[in-house]
Amino acid sequence: MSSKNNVKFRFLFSLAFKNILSHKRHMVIIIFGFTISISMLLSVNLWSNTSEDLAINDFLGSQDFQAYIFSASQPEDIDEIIEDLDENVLVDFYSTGYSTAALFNTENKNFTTYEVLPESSQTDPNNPVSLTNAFITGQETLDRISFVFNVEGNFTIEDNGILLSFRQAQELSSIYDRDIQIGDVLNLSISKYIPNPAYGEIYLSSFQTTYYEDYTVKGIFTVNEGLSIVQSALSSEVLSDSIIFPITSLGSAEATMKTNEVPYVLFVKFDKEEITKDGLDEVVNKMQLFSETIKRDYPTTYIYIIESTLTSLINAYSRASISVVLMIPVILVGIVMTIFTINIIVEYRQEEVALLRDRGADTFQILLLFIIEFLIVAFFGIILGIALSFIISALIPSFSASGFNGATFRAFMREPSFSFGFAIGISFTLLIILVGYASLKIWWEISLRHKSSEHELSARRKMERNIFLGVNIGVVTIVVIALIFVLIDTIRNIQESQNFSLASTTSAGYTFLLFCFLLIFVGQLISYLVTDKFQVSLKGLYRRIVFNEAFFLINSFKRKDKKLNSMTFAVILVSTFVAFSLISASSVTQNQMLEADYKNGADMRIITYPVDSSFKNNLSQIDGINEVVALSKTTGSIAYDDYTVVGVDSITYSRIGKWDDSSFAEDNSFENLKILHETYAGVIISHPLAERLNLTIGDDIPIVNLPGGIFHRSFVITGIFNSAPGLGLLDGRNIEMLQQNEGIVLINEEFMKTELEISSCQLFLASVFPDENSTRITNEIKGLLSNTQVNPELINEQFIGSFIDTYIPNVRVFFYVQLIAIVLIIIVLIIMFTDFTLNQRTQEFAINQTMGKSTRTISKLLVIELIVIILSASIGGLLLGLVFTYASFNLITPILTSHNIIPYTINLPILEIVLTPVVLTAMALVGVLPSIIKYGREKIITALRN
Amino acid sequence: MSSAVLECKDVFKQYELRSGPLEVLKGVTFDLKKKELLAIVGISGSGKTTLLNLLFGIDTMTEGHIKIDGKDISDMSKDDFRLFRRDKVGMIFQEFYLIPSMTAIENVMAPLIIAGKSEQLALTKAYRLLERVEIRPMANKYPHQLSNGQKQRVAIARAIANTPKILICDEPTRALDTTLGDGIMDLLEELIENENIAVIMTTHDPQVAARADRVLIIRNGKLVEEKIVDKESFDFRAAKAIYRDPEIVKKEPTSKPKTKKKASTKEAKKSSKNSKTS
Ligand SMILES: Nc1ncnc2c1ncn2[C@@H]1O[C@H](COP(=O)(O)OP(=O)(O)OP(=O)(O)O)[C@@H](O)[C@H]1O
Ligand SMILES: [Mg+2]
Repeated sequence: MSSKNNVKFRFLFSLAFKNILSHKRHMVIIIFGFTISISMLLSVNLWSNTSEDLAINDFLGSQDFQAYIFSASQPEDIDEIIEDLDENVLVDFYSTGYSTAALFNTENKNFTTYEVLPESSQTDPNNPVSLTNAFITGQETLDRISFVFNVEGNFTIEDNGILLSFRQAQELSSIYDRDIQIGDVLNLSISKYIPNPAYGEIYLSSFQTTYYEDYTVKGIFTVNEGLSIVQSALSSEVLSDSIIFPITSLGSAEATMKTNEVPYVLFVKFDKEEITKDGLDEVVNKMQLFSETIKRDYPTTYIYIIESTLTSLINAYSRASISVVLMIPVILVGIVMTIFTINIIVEYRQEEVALLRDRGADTFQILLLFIIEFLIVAFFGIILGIALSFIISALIPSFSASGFNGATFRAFMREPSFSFGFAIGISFTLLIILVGYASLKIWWEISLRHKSSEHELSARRKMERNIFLGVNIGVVTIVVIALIFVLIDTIRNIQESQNFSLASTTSAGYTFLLFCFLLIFVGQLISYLVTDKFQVSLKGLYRRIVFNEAFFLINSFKRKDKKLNSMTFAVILVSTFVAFSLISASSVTQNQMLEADYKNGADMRIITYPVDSSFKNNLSQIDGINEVVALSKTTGSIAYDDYTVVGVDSITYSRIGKWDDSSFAEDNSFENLKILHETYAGVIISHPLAERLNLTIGDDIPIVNLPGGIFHRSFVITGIFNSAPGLGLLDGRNIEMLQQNEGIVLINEEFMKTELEISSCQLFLASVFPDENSTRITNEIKGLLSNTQVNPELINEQFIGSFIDTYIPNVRVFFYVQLIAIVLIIIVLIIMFTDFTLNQRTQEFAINQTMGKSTRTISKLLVIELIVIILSASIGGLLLGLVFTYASFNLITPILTSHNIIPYTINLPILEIVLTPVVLTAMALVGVLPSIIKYGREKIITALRN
Repeated sequence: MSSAVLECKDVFKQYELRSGPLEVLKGVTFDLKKKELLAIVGISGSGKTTLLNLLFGIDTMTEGHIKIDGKDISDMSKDDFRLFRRDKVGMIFQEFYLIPSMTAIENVMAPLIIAGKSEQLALTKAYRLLERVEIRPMANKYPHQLSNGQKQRVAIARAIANTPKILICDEPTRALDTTLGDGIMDLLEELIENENIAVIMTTHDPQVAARADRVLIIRNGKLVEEKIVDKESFDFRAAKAIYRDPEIVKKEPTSKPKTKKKASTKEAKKSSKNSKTS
């Protein structure tokens, strides 16, 4: 029995293979459909998995350290902690350091305990002691954190070397009244400072200052803002006014450090292999566990781990992976194409089915044969699709603004994070949908052949139509209901914050998915209108073009078996998505330009080595530059949080800065900038901060820990903003802007200079006269001051954003991939359909020829028919696409960008939209030309007998 | 010879089959005169349709000469032939070959439109033609909704739409009952009389053949018998036998000819019987 079945199966298989070979064209199209659908879905999945792995790997690899442990009250704990670290497999490397104070110009002053006031208030203002922060560590620590610093000279502390911050070098220059340069030899004391919060004054006490002689200045540095743990531990403000001193020089003083409870810092770097061993999801958990253990065992120590940045990196990739929904149109079109191909195959092979039936095959056997054929073909399609997805996934991130990046491509090809589960899941889903459809269709056709009577047949057709209609209405209802729920969710999520969360991106993804489904049904409706109403209604036009031969054209459009017309739906669907892709791509481009403006803040963003803010006068001398504003920065605390305090000439800033409506929390915000200018101790704070502290314009706000000696200062709120051009969001937390995880407040430039004594500045914004050559201006600026950047592509490249930028491509890439795939599909579809129709109509053409119609006329009418179909369908589709895009655009912005600081606007690429039907038609004509020629050459007699 | 509208000389046709060449026509020679109704009879598969296709120019002969209106068709371009088919020659096919996506009236309109008539004119004329073949009520039916006889009549209406000079009919009465068949024959005769056309037709029906001016018998790829039919004294039984074995016709008629139901409008040409040329 089983062997008999075996033989049967073998027979079926060989028959199936034979059939596949004899219907190569159709089989190739089915393979193509599978390949496209699978590869699109898989490649986005593969890309997002791989890029997340690579980015996290890069991030963990390029970090100086990933945790720091800080202990002041119980320094003896440190020795035990070090023992623990030595044993912990998670720890790859650690290093130690002290954060304390250093004094210069203490020679001959001979004190062990000393009260240090700001230089200007010291007892001997003509020969003051210079107080600065000291970071005491080893060379190996410096080697790891060097990327955070801009160094003139060498970044080394070997051979009794010290490093000076630019600010400290300037201070020493004024104290010693000579230019402090690399190679100078200095004396200094290491001490400990205790701030007195009550007065904002700094005392040195309870510490034996240790005096060191003859230290060589090896380098002078400024600090880049970046994602360094050393920066988190010491704060960039501390580092920017500091010296770096070798820990090896401490000698016996190290014991004093401990007894004096000088804060001791342990920097820890985790073992990359070890921490990623159990998957990236576990990385954060492992870090947290490490932190919990330390806290439990040493309750008085403070431990900080970098997990929050890592979490935001992971979140960014999770959000990016949702862009897979942007591929849904391709998959839908791919499925539609495959379904059409199945329809054609079934129709094509009816005679074959009849023959099989005559030979005694039952319905089940015929069905089995077709399913086996289909499965074999689908298998090839899936394998090809998987293979292709590896290439596409590597191509997606490899194209950036600067062109093709081979290294990224190779990195993706080398270590793809392929998810078998996902691949098998979508392959099966696709198989079930398409094999299911094919079986149903074949079964339906086979059983239809049974019914001989015309009456029964038409009854059955009617039933078929009703089922089709019923299913459509049912699905549409479900989709619409689901859409309503998702819409509510999406709108709520989007309005929640200016930075889109994973939740808002996810619900936007669902919205888009449902919109796409809805589109299939609306597309059918439009298709009906176009074929049954519009194309037939153009009689007058046809008569004008082809005169009395319009008779044949109208007949073609009216015919019941609308063979050529059934591609109308496909063309409509495709043009809808083409419109969506085109509009989205162009809107994204435009919004990215707006964003770049916003990031740069003005026509020109100029970043320098710290210079006096009066440098802006030098800049405005340059031909072509209109106005310049200097933005000087420092830090202060508001309500226990650190804020970047920016001093600015707000009137000039209001003119130069690329402000937009969303920058302001209130309408009259330009007025606020003017008021800030007029209010000496005024401040503009962010909207979220104002909400958190329940403050409004006119209220007082204290800012503590500002430089200039006084601990506590009070400001009047003159404005509430959301964002400021060139500075980013006023409440920080904006990864894509690549800025620090801190808020920003704006204060008056005068206050900054006079009260905080900060007049150096690293950031200038300039406006340029229209039609000026920006390259020339850029070069002139660089000529003024070397090491200057103008409109850099990445702002604060050390921040987490740059890791995201490496592998997350411009979202436009998805639209281009989509466009290419969709256009490919429609071309295949049009060629297949036309060829099929021509094949069906050869006899009709031959009959016409026997009546004296020329092949030229036949071809002409066919071409016109094709043009009318594709033009009308694509115009209908484009209109639908416009409606679809406008309806869904605001809801899917979380997929397109990470924030809505700048209101996302639609940009209609009119030329591309207008050209689309023309290009589609032209491509279709070129595609079907070989078929038309082929059928035109066929002998009448052979065609007649067809 | 000048009265011949169609001349056929030593026409050979062979099909290339997988099993080797199949010679269907092996030197067919005949002519069709003006206002003549010529019938070709022969057993199934003897090559009647093949011959008509050659005459209509939709198939190519292997050897020989065919002249239409004095012009050798091998000298004619594809386009000349097309115009011939459009304006001068009409054909009614054995399988009708109606356009399935067109209604009866549209099928008849098609050749008129192709010949450059306006749609309005074509419509009026097509209705008249359908009336003539007595199926006007079926005008808006599609071919699959028509019986074979109705289809045949639509095919006839279509073939004569542009009043061709020569009408080629492949079994024009095959699907019709005697009454309708006679009606069609009447129509053909009327056309010959009024429109000056010449008709060449094949048939299996001796009664139909009997109405022809001449009957040619095709056998073994040749026109083995050519005889002028004496309509009055046509041997029905003998004629019937032609279908089975054309040799029979050689024998003298043994019984009285059957009188026809309807008198022909046209006087049959009297001529003596030719013996076959072997
Ligand atoms: N396209 C073709 N290829 C090969 N052989 C053909 C072809 N067309 C016809 N034949 C063969 O040529 C011979 C003549 O066929 P034809 O159709 O001319 O016969 P017929 O006399 O019209 O027959 P019937 O009375 O049945 O219509 C037949 O043997 C047929 O098998
Ligand atoms: Mg025949």
